[in-house]
Amino acid sequence: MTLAIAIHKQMNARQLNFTATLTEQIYGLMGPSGVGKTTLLRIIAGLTTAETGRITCQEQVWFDAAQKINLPPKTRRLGFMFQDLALFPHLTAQANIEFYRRLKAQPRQVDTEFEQQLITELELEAYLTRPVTQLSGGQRQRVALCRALISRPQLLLLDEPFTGLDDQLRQRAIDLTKNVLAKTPGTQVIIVSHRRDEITAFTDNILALER
Amino acid sequence: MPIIHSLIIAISATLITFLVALPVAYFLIRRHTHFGWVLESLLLLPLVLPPTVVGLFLLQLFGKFGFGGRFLALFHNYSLIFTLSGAVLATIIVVLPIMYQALKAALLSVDSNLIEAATVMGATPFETLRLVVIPNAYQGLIIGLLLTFCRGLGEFGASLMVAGYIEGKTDTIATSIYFSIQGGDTSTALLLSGVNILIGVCALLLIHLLNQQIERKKQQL
Repeated sequence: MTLAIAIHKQMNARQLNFTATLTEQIYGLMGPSGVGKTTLLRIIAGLTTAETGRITCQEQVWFDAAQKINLPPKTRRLGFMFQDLALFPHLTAQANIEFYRRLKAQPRQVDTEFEQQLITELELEAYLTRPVTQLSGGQRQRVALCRALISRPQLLLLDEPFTGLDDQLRQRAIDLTKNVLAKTPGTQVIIVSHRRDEITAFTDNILALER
Repeated sequence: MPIIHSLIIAISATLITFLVALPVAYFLIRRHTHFGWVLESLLLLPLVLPPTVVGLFLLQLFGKFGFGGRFLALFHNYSLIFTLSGAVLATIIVVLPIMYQALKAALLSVDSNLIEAATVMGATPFETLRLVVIPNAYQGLIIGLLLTFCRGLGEFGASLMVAGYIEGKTDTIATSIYFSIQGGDTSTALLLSGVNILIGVCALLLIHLLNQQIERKKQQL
Protein backbone atom coordinates (compact mmCIF):
# COMPACT_ATOMS: atom_id res chain seq x y z
CA MET A 1 0.00 0.00 0.00
CA THR A 2 1.21 3.50 -0.81
CA LEU A 3 0.19 6.61 1.05
CA ALA A 4 1.55 9.83 -0.47
CA ILE A 5 1.32 13.00 1.57
CA ALA A 6 2.44 16.50 0.62
CA ILE A 7 0.71 19.18 2.67
CA HIS A 8 1.16 22.67 4.00
CA LYS A 9 -0.88 24.15 6.82
CA GLN A 10 -0.59 27.42 8.71
CA MET A 11 -0.90 26.72 12.45
CA ASN A 12 -1.17 29.91 14.51
CA ALA A 13 2.40 31.29 14.44
CA ARG A 14 3.95 28.16 12.87
CA GLN A 15 3.76 26.32 9.61
CA LEU A 16 3.27 22.61 9.16
CA ASN A 17 4.98 21.26 6.07
CA PHE A 18 5.11 17.54 5.50
CA THR A 19 6.00 15.48 2.47
CA ALA A 20 6.43 11.71 2.44
CA THR A 21 5.55 8.61 0.48
CA LEU A 22 4.80 5.70 2.77
CA THR A 23 5.06 2.18 1.41
CA GLU A 24 5.92 0.07 4.47
CA GLN A 25 3.28 -1.28 6.86
CA ILE A 26 4.21 0.66 9.99
CA TYR A 27 5.60 4.17 10.46
CA GLY A 28 6.34 6.10 13.59
CA LEU A 29 5.83 9.87 13.70
CA MET A 30 7.91 11.77 16.22
CA GLY A 31 8.47 15.36 17.13
CA PRO A 32 8.39 17.79 20.03
CA SER A 33 5.12 18.89 21.62
CA GLY A 34 3.10 21.34 19.57
CA VAL A 35 4.96 20.68 16.33
CA GLY A 36 1.79 19.42 14.63
CA LYS A 37 1.83 15.62 14.94
CA THR A 38 -1.84 15.38 15.87
CA THR A 39 -2.74 18.03 13.29
CA LEU A 40 -1.00 15.96 10.60
CA LEU A 41 -3.02 12.87 11.60
CA ARG A 42 -6.20 14.95 11.56
CA ILE A 43 -5.37 16.24 8.07
CA ILE A 44 -4.78 12.68 6.85
CA ALA A 45 -8.09 11.62 8.43
CA GLY A 46 -9.97 14.54 6.84
CA LEU A 47 -10.90 16.12 10.18
CA THR A 48 -8.79 19.20 9.45
CA THR A 49 -8.06 20.74 6.08
CA ALA A 50 -4.63 21.82 4.88
CA GLU A 51 -4.24 25.05 2.93
CA THR A 52 -2.34 23.42 0.10
CA GLY A 53 -1.18 19.97 -0.87
CA ARG A 54 -2.33 16.54 -1.90
CA ILE A 55 -2.92 13.20 -0.19
CA THR A 56 -3.38 10.00 -2.15
CA CYS A 57 -3.90 6.49 -0.89
CA GLN A 58 -3.53 3.60 -3.34
CA GLU A 59 -3.96 5.97 -6.32
CA GLN A 60 -7.20 7.34 -4.79
CA VAL A 61 -7.06 11.09 -4.21
CA TRP A 62 -8.21 11.86 -0.67
CA PHE A 63 -7.28 15.51 -0.72
CA ASP A 64 -6.15 17.88 -3.43
CA ALA A 65 -6.30 21.56 -2.59
CA ALA A 66 -5.70 22.64 -6.19
CA GLN A 67 -8.53 20.50 -7.54
CA LYS A 68 -10.72 21.21 -4.48
CA ILE A 69 -11.01 17.50 -3.68
CA ASN A 70 -11.50 16.65 -0.02
CA LEU A 71 -13.05 13.24 0.68
CA PRO A 72 -15.04 13.09 3.92
CA PRO A 73 -13.44 10.98 6.68
CA LYS A 74 -15.90 8.10 6.35
CA THR A 75 -14.95 7.41 2.73
CA ARG A 76 -11.21 7.27 3.49
CA ARG A 77 -11.50 3.81 5.09
CA LEU A 78 -9.32 4.54 8.06
CA GLY A 79 -9.26 3.82 11.75
CA PHE A 80 -8.34 6.57 14.19
CA MET A 81 -7.33 5.99 17.80
CA PHE A 82 -7.53 9.41 19.44
CA GLN A 83 -5.07 10.54 22.09
CA ASP A 84 -7.82 10.61 24.72
CA LEU A 85 -9.27 7.43 23.15
CA ALA A 86 -12.66 9.13 22.52
CA LEU A 87 -14.62 6.11 23.71
CA PHE A 88 -18.35 6.76 23.94
CA PRO A 89 -18.86 7.01 27.71
CA HIS A 90 -22.56 6.09 27.63
CA LEU A 91 -21.86 2.73 26.00
CA THR A 92 -20.35 -0.57 27.10
CA ALA A 93 -17.04 -1.81 25.71
CA GLN A 94 -18.89 -4.08 23.30
CA ALA A 95 -21.23 -1.31 22.11
CA ASN A 96 -18.20 0.91 21.49
CA ILE A 97 -16.50 -1.81 19.46
CA GLU A 98 -19.70 -2.53 17.52
CA PHE A 99 -20.66 1.12 17.00
CA TYR A 100 -20.45 0.52 13.24
CA ARG A 101 -23.44 -1.78 13.42
CA ARG A 102 -25.66 1.10 14.59
CA LEU A 103 -24.95 3.12 11.46
CA LYS A 104 -27.36 2.80 8.55
CA ALA A 105 -25.23 4.04 5.70
CA GLN A 106 -22.17 2.08 6.68
CA PRO A 107 -20.06 1.31 3.61
CA ARG A 108 -17.74 -1.01 5.51
CA GLN A 109 -18.67 -4.55 6.40
CA VAL A 110 -17.78 -5.71 9.89
CA ASP A 111 -16.60 -9.28 9.82
CA THR A 112 -17.95 -11.12 12.90
CA GLU A 113 -15.16 -13.69 12.84
CA PHE A 114 -12.51 -10.98 12.69
CA GLU A 115 -14.23 -9.08 15.48
CA GLN A 116 -14.17 -12.15 17.70
CA GLN A 117 -10.51 -12.75 16.84
CA LEU A 118 -9.63 -9.15 17.76
CA ILE A 119 -11.52 -9.35 21.05
CA THR A 120 -9.67 -12.57 21.92
CA GLU A 121 -6.26 -11.24 20.87
CA LEU A 122 -6.78 -8.07 22.92
CA GLU A 123 -8.08 -10.08 25.90
CA LEU A 124 -11.31 -8.13 26.10
CA GLU A 125 -13.86 -10.94 26.61
CA ALA A 126 -14.23 -10.35 30.35
CA TYR A 127 -14.90 -6.62 30.00
CA LEU A 128 -17.28 -6.48 27.05
CA THR A 129 -20.45 -5.87 29.04
CA ARG A 130 -18.91 -3.24 31.31
CA PRO A 131 -19.46 0.49 30.65
CA VAL A 132 -16.18 1.96 29.40
CA THR A 133 -16.22 4.45 32.28
CA GLN A 134 -15.67 1.49 34.62
CA LEU A 135 -12.62 0.15 32.77
CA SER A 136 -8.99 0.76 33.68
CA GLY A 137 -6.67 2.80 31.44
CA GLY A 138 -5.15 -0.31 29.86
CA GLN A 139 -8.54 -1.89 29.21
CA ARG A 140 -9.85 1.33 27.67
CA GLN A 141 -6.78 1.55 25.45
CA ARG A 142 -7.43 -1.98 24.14
CA VAL A 143 -11.14 -1.24 23.53
CA ALA A 144 -10.15 1.87 21.53
CA LEU A 145 -7.62 -0.14 19.48
CA CYS A 146 -10.19 -2.86 18.83
CA ARG A 147 -12.75 -0.25 17.74
CA ALA A 148 -10.25 1.41 15.39
CA LEU A 149 -9.32 -1.92 13.77
CA ILE A 150 -12.70 -3.61 13.62
CA SER A 151 -13.58 -2.45 10.10
CA ARG A 152 -10.22 -3.61 8.70
CA PRO A 153 -9.17 -0.06 7.74
CA GLN A 154 -6.59 0.44 5.00
CA LEU A 155 -4.92 3.02 7.23
CA LEU A 156 -4.76 3.06 11.03
CA LEU A 157 -3.77 6.27 12.82
CA LEU A 158 -2.66 5.86 16.44
CA ASP A 159 -2.23 9.16 18.29
CA GLU A 160 -0.10 8.67 21.41
CA PRO A 161 -1.76 5.30 21.99
CA PHE A 162 0.09 4.41 25.20
CA THR A 163 -0.13 7.76 27.01
CA GLY A 164 -1.29 7.53 30.60
CA LEU A 165 -0.24 3.91 31.12
CA ASP A 166 2.39 2.97 33.68
CA ASP A 167 5.55 1.19 32.46
CA GLN A 168 4.26 -2.32 33.08
CA LEU A 169 0.88 -1.69 31.43
CA ARG A 170 2.57 0.18 28.57
CA GLN A 171 4.78 -2.81 27.76
CA ARG A 172 1.78 -5.15 27.92
CA ALA A 173 -0.23 -2.80 25.66
CA ILE A 174 2.67 -2.56 23.20
CA ASP A 175 2.99 -6.37 23.06
CA LEU A 176 -0.74 -6.86 22.47
CA THR A 177 -0.83 -4.09 19.84
CA LYS A 178 2.20 -5.55 18.01
CA ASN A 179 0.55 -8.94 18.03
CA VAL A 180 -2.69 -7.61 16.57
CA LEU A 181 -0.97 -5.44 13.93
CA ALA A 182 1.07 -8.46 12.81
CA LYS A 183 -2.21 -10.20 12.07
CA THR A 184 -3.61 -7.33 9.99
CA PRO A 185 -0.97 -6.99 7.26
CA GLY A 186 -3.36 -5.16 4.93
CA THR A 187 -3.54 -2.19 7.29
CA GLN A 188 -0.92 0.52 7.07
CA VAL A 189 -0.21 2.14 10.42
CA ILE A 190 1.09 5.52 11.55
CA ILE A 191 1.91 5.71 15.26
CA VAL A 192 2.45 9.09 16.85
CA SER A 193 4.50 9.20 20.02
CA HIS A 194 6.90 11.52 21.77
CA ARG A 195 8.77 8.44 23.07
CA ARG A 196 11.27 6.87 20.72
CA ASP A 197 11.20 3.51 22.56
CA GLU A 198 7.45 3.18 21.94
CA ILE A 199 7.96 3.67 18.22
CA THR A 200 11.05 1.50 17.85
CA ALA A 201 9.09 -1.31 19.50
CA PHE A 202 7.03 -1.37 16.29
CA THR A 203 9.22 -0.09 13.48
CA ASP A 204 12.47 1.49 12.39
CA ASN A 205 10.62 3.67 9.89
CA ILE A 206 10.59 6.95 11.74
CA LEU A 207 9.17 10.17 10.36
CA ALA A 208 10.37 13.22 12.25
CA LEU A 209 8.55 16.54 12.45
CA GLU A 210 10.75 19.46 13.40
CA ARG A 211 10.07 23.03 14.37
CA MET B 1 -58.74 26.86 33.98
CA PRO B 2 -55.82 29.31 34.17
CA ILE B 3 -53.54 26.54 35.46
CA ILE B 4 -54.57 24.15 32.69
CA HIS B 5 -54.19 26.88 30.06
CA SER B 6 -50.75 27.80 31.37
CA LEU B 7 -49.68 24.14 31.34
CA ILE B 8 -50.97 23.67 27.77
CA ILE B 9 -49.14 26.80 26.61
CA ALA B 10 -45.90 26.04 28.46
CA ILE B 11 -45.74 22.36 27.41
CA SER B 12 -46.62 23.09 23.74
CA ALA B 13 -44.14 25.98 23.52
CA THR B 14 -41.41 23.93 25.21
CA LEU B 15 -41.80 20.94 22.88
CA ILE B 16 -42.03 23.07 19.73
CA THR B 17 -39.02 25.24 20.62
CA PHE B 18 -37.03 22.10 21.48
CA LEU B 19 -37.74 20.61 18.06
CA VAL B 20 -36.79 23.90 16.35
CA ALA B 21 -33.78 24.87 18.47
CA LEU B 22 -32.05 21.46 18.64
CA PRO B 23 -31.30 21.03 14.92
CA VAL B 24 -30.51 24.75 14.53
CA ALA B 25 -28.08 24.77 17.50
CA TYR B 26 -26.44 21.55 16.29
CA PHE B 27 -26.08 22.92 12.76
CA LEU B 28 -24.62 26.24 13.93
CA ILE B 29 -22.12 24.51 16.23
CA ARG B 30 -20.94 22.05 13.57
CA ARG B 31 -20.90 24.34 10.56
CA HIS B 32 -19.25 27.72 10.87
CA THR B 33 -21.21 29.47 8.14
CA HIS B 34 -21.01 33.14 7.23
CA PHE B 35 -24.70 33.69 7.99
CA GLY B 36 -24.57 31.74 11.27
CA TRP B 37 -24.34 34.84 13.43
CA VAL B 38 -27.32 36.39 11.62
CA LEU B 39 -29.48 33.35 12.33
CA GLU B 40 -28.28 33.21 15.93
CA SER B 41 -28.98 36.93 16.42
CA LEU B 42 -32.50 36.49 15.06
CA LEU B 43 -33.10 33.61 17.47
CA LEU B 44 -31.80 35.65 20.42
CA LEU B 45 -33.54 38.91 19.48
CA PRO B 46 -36.64 38.35 21.67
CA LEU B 47 -34.32 38.11 24.68
CA VAL B 48 -33.36 41.76 24.35
CA LEU B 49 -36.85 43.03 23.52
CA PRO B 50 -39.72 43.72 25.92
CA PRO B 51 -42.35 40.96 25.53
CA THR B 52 -44.86 43.66 24.60
CA VAL B 53 -42.77 44.48 21.52
CA VAL B 54 -42.84 40.80 20.53
CA GLY B 55 -46.60 40.83 21.14
CA LEU B 56 -47.07 43.96 19.03
CA PHE B 57 -45.03 42.43 16.20
CA LEU B 58 -47.17 39.28 16.30
CA LEU B 59 -50.34 41.37 16.37
CA GLN B 60 -49.15 43.21 13.28
CA LEU B 61 -48.22 39.97 11.53
CA PHE B 62 -51.21 37.85 12.50
CA GLY B 63 -53.84 40.58 12.91
CA LYS B 64 -56.69 40.96 10.47
CA PHE B 65 -54.60 42.94 8.00
CA GLY B 66 -51.23 41.28 8.57
CA PHE B 67 -49.67 38.87 6.08
CA GLY B 68 -49.96 35.88 8.44
CA GLY B 69 -53.48 36.85 9.50
CA ARG B 70 -54.70 37.07 5.92
CA PHE B 71 -53.06 33.76 5.09
CA LEU B 72 -54.66 31.96 8.07
CA ALA B 73 -58.03 33.51 7.22
CA LEU B 74 -58.00 31.40 4.04
CA PHE B 75 -58.53 28.34 6.27
CA HIS B 76 -62.14 28.69 7.49
CA ASN B 77 -61.48 32.29 8.52
CA TYR B 78 -59.08 31.08 11.23
CA SER B 79 -57.37 33.66 13.42
CA LEU B 80 -54.68 33.35 16.08
CA ILE B 81 -55.70 36.55 17.85
CA PHE B 82 -57.55 36.03 21.15
CA THR B 83 -56.96 32.25 21.07
CA LEU B 84 -54.88 29.85 23.12
CA SER B 85 -52.91 29.02 19.93
CA GLY B 86 -51.98 32.70 19.71
CA ALA B 87 -50.70 32.55 23.30
CA VAL B 88 -48.67 29.43 22.39
CA LEU B 89 -47.14 31.24 19.40
CA ALA B 90 -46.28 34.31 21.50
CA THR B 91 -44.72 32.10 24.17
CA ILE B 92 -42.71 30.19 21.56
CA ILE B 93 -41.13 33.43 20.31
CA VAL B 94 -40.38 34.62 23.87
CA VAL B 95 -38.86 31.31 25.12
CA LEU B 96 -36.99 30.35 21.95
CA PRO B 97 -33.79 32.24 22.95
CA ILE B 98 -33.75 30.52 26.36
CA MET B 99 -34.16 27.08 24.80
CA TYR B 100 -31.54 27.84 22.13
CA GLN B 101 -28.96 29.05 24.66
CA ALA B 102 -29.54 26.06 26.96
CA LEU B 103 -29.33 23.53 24.12
CA LYS B 104 -26.24 25.18 22.66
CA ALA B 105 -24.49 24.96 26.04
CA ALA B 106 -25.54 21.31 26.42
CA LEU B 107 -24.33 20.38 22.92
CA LEU B 108 -21.04 22.23 23.39
CA SER B 109 -20.42 20.26 26.59
CA VAL B 110 -20.01 17.06 24.53
CA ASP B 111 -16.34 16.28 23.85
CA SER B 112 -15.68 17.13 20.19
CA ASN B 113 -13.43 14.06 19.92
CA LEU B 114 -16.50 11.85 20.42
CA ILE B 115 -18.18 13.57 17.49
CA GLU B 116 -15.08 13.21 15.35
CA ALA B 117 -14.69 9.55 16.33
CA ALA B 118 -18.24 8.89 15.16
CA THR B 119 -17.58 10.86 11.95
CA VAL B 120 -14.46 8.82 11.15
CA MET B 121 -16.47 5.64 11.69
CA GLY B 122 -18.98 6.77 9.08
CA ALA B 123 -21.82 8.28 11.12
CA THR B 124 -23.93 10.91 9.37
CA PRO B 125 -24.49 14.20 11.25
CA PHE B 126 -27.98 12.99 12.24
CA GLU B 127 -26.62 9.63 13.46
CA THR B 128 -23.92 11.44 15.42
CA LEU B 129 -26.59 13.65 17.01
CA ARG B 130 -28.84 10.68 17.84
CA LEU B 131 -26.23 8.13 18.89
CA VAL B 132 -23.50 10.24 20.47
CA VAL B 133 -24.46 13.85 21.17
CA ILE B 134 -27.94 13.46 22.70
CA PRO B 135 -27.01 10.52 25.00
CA ASN B 136 -24.03 12.51 26.30
CA ALA B 137 -25.87 15.81 26.65
CA TYR B 138 -29.28 14.65 27.81
CA GLN B 139 -29.04 16.14 31.30
CA GLY B 140 -28.23 19.54 29.79
CA LEU B 141 -31.04 19.12 27.29
CA ILE B 142 -33.51 18.33 30.09
CA ILE B 143 -32.32 21.41 31.97
CA GLY B 144 -33.08 23.41 28.82
CA LEU B 145 -36.56 21.89 28.66
CA LEU B 146 -37.24 22.69 32.33
CA LEU B 147 -35.98 26.28 32.14
CA THR B 148 -38.02 26.91 29.01
CA PHE B 149 -41.09 25.32 30.56
CA CYS B 150 -40.79 27.52 33.67
CA ARG B 151 -40.36 30.66 31.58
CA GLY B 152 -43.30 29.62 29.41
CA LEU B 153 -45.44 29.06 32.47
CA GLY B 154 -44.88 32.64 33.61
CA GLU B 155 -45.15 34.30 30.19
CA PHE B 156 -47.31 37.43 30.43
CA GLY B 157 -46.64 40.38 28.14
CA ALA B 158 -46.57 38.90 24.66
CA SER B 159 -49.35 36.40 25.42
CA LEU B 160 -51.60 39.13 26.77
CA MET B 161 -51.01 41.27 23.66
CA VAL B 162 -51.87 38.40 21.29
CA ALA B 163 -54.38 36.28 23.21
CA GLY B 164 -55.82 38.85 25.60
CA TYR B 165 -57.57 37.81 28.81
CA ILE B 166 -60.79 35.92 28.17
CA GLU B 167 -61.93 33.93 31.20
CA GLY B 168 -62.26 30.23 30.44
CA LYS B 169 -60.64 30.71 27.02
CA THR B 170 -57.26 32.43 27.16
CA ASP B 171 -56.70 33.13 30.86
CA THR B 172 -53.35 31.89 32.19
CA ILE B 173 -51.76 31.87 35.65
CA ALA B 174 -49.83 35.09 34.96
CA THR B 175 -52.70 37.03 33.39
CA SER B 176 -55.18 35.76 36.02
CA ILE B 177 -52.93 36.96 38.84
CA TYR B 178 -52.78 40.40 37.22
CA PHE B 179 -56.50 40.71 36.62
CA SER B 180 -57.38 39.21 40.05
CA ILE B 181 -55.32 41.93 41.71
CA GLN B 182 -56.93 44.54 39.47
CA GLY B 183 -60.31 43.23 40.56
CA GLY B 184 -59.36 43.13 44.25
CA ASP B 185 -59.38 39.31 44.47
CA THR B 186 -56.09 38.88 46.35
CA SER B 187 -56.78 35.34 47.55
CA THR B 188 -57.09 33.97 43.97
CA ALA B 189 -53.93 35.84 43.02
CA LEU B 190 -52.08 34.35 46.00
CA LEU B 191 -53.36 30.83 45.28
CA LEU B 192 -52.25 31.00 41.65
CA SER B 193 -48.90 32.49 42.69
CA GLY B 194 -48.44 29.60 45.11
CA VAL B 195 -49.08 27.05 42.38
CA ASN B 196 -46.59 28.79 40.10
CA ILE B 197 -43.97 28.95 42.86
CA LEU B 198 -44.49 25.24 43.66
CA ILE B 199 -43.99 24.22 40.02
CA GLY B 200 -40.95 26.51 39.78
CA VAL B 201 -39.35 25.10 42.93
CA CYS B 202 -39.90 21.51 41.70
CA ALA B 203 -38.27 22.42 38.39
CA LEU B 204 -35.30 24.06 40.12
CA LEU B 205 -34.88 21.00 42.35
CA LEU B 206 -34.81 18.78 39.27
CA ILE B 207 -32.27 21.10 37.62
CA HIS B 208 -30.11 20.91 40.76
CA LEU B 209 -30.23 17.08 40.71
CA LEU B 210 -29.38 17.01 37.01
CA ASN B 211 -26.46 19.40 37.55
CA GLN B 212 -25.15 17.08 40.27
CA GLN B 213 -25.44 14.16 37.84
CA ILE B 214 -23.48 16.13 35.21
CA GLU B 215 -20.72 16.87 37.75
CA ARG B 216 -20.53 13.19 38.74
CA LYS B 217 -20.29 12.19 35.07
CA LYS B 218 -17.45 14.67 34.52
CA GLN B 219 -15.54 13.18 37.46
CA GLN B 220 -16.03 9.65 36.10
CA LEU B 221 -14.39 10.51 32.77
